[in-house]
Amino acid sequence: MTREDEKTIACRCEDISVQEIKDAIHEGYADLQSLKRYAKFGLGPCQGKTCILLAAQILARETGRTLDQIMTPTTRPPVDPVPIGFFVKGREADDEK
Amino acid sequence: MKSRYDCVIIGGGISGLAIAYELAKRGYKDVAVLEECYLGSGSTGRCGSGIRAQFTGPDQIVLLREAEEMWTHMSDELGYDIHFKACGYLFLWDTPELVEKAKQNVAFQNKHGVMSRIIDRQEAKEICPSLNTDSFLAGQWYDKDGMAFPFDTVTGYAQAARRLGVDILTTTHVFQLETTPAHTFTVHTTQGNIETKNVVNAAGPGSKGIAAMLGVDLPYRLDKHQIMATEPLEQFLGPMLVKNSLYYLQTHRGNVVGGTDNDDKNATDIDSTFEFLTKFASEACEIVPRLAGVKLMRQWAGYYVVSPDAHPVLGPIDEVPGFFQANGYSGHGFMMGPIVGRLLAEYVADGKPSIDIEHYNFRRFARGELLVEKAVIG
Ligand SMILES: Cc1cc2nc3c(=O)[nH]c(=O)nc-3n(C[C@H](O)[C@H](O)[C@H](O)COP(=O)(O)OP(=O)(O)OC[C@H]3O[C@@H](n4cnc5c(N)ncnc54)[C@H](O)[C@@H]3O)c2cc1C
Ligand code: FES
Repeated sequence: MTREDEKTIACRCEDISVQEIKDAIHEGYADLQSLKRYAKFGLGPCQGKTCILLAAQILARETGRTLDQIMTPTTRPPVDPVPIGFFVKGREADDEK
Repeated sequence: MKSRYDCVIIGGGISGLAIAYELAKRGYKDVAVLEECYLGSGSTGRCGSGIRAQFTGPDQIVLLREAEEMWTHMSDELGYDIHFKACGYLFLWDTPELVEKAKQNVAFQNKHGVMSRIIDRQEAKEICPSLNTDSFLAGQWYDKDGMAFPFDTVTGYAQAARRLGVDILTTTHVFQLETTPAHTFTVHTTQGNIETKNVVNAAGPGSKGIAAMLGVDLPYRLDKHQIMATEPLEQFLGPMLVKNSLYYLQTHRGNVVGGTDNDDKNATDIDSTFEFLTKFASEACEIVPRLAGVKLMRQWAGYYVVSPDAHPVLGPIDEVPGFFQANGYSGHGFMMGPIVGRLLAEYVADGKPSIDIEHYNFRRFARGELLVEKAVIG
């Protein structure tokens, strides 16, 4: 464990450090799907766009695998968050701005 | 993985893991859980996380009342915070007929120890200040209903079961099941074969296929259900809100999570659609207008495993001794997890559960003794 890993934030949306991800990997969460859900990164407003690849790299390094061997979780629509009011029938999206 | 176990449980969702944990707790430790993907990857990880005892059938009310009692202590029991919260369920009724029916349901629930009650719009507004009181006539409220976080529940059960000696194997797909002349089973998996005395079918959407391997025809259909989550917000909502097929709650992490009926139930894909979003958004914003400004973050779908009477199949199969079912929850199997875990463990370990659930047996379909349940949501 290094102080640097504790201080380096891997997922900014959810405030999860590199160290927390490494700890989860060493507890046995060795696939990206379980790791993401257990360590609780990648589900913030950016939907993992900034952190999933980083976490995948950490996972690859820690478990001696290549990035290709580590499946990426599916991105679920909508990719960019939109206010719910946008989908209400007969309502102008601008109403809410 | 060993080549022999006393009990093999197929499915690493809440059902399979709760049964494994309860078995091990009873000293019945030679148990394996086989999961073809990762733990919680089935319906459990996709669900709305609601827990309620406000049902219309007496059997369901009694079981869920017991389950809620277990949920309340679950974090302590498992030594892991599963984030159970008794946020209450608030049903909103918008026609005089529905209010009348709700009064009957409440009387019935009260008779079975679930102290729900009918409340007026004023009180509903006190419980949920964001409500638009023009959108309903009366509420039906029970403060012991609640929610728990599915992935934390899965992790809590899995870790506790492992500590007690259960083998939990992921990426292990079961593709064939056979009975042997010695009254055991051979379980064929992608990681090799296992001999076992008992098999528990907790495979969720895969349970019909598992039963078919032993010639048992579970009368299920899979209904697709869509669901969404918003960006996290400060706690503002309070209870789980339900109006007709619409439901949503706010998780401990602040996201509003919920869904509604959509007309693509019979679809074979599990894609997310724009139609679902427009229907959900219109219904959701009608009862809580401030949701309109909240950003939607994720959308996904999963299956309800629906039985002919919307009740699960629990317990042994007369024709195949040693083969147990824990499936067919018809959209409310997460909340039943703890009590199913206990009762199925009792079936396997002691031959008899401590609450009579014979009427949930598979044989009811052959005998035409279907159960009644009207409160299916989503
Ligand atoms: C959108 C949605 C919302 C819901 N909301 C709620 C709610 O608010 N409250 C509630 O109580 N319930 C809700 N439900 C229902 C609930 O999710 C399920 O009833 C419950 O999770 C069932 O749990 P399970 O463990 O039995 O099945 P699952 O979680 O589906 O687990 C079964 C597991 O078996 C595995 N499997 C299948 N076949 C095989 C095989 N051949 N070999 C090895 N493994 C196999 C699967 O990968 C899966 O992980 C909802 C469901 C959906 C889809
Ligand atoms: S940085 Fe991880 S979800 Fe946004």
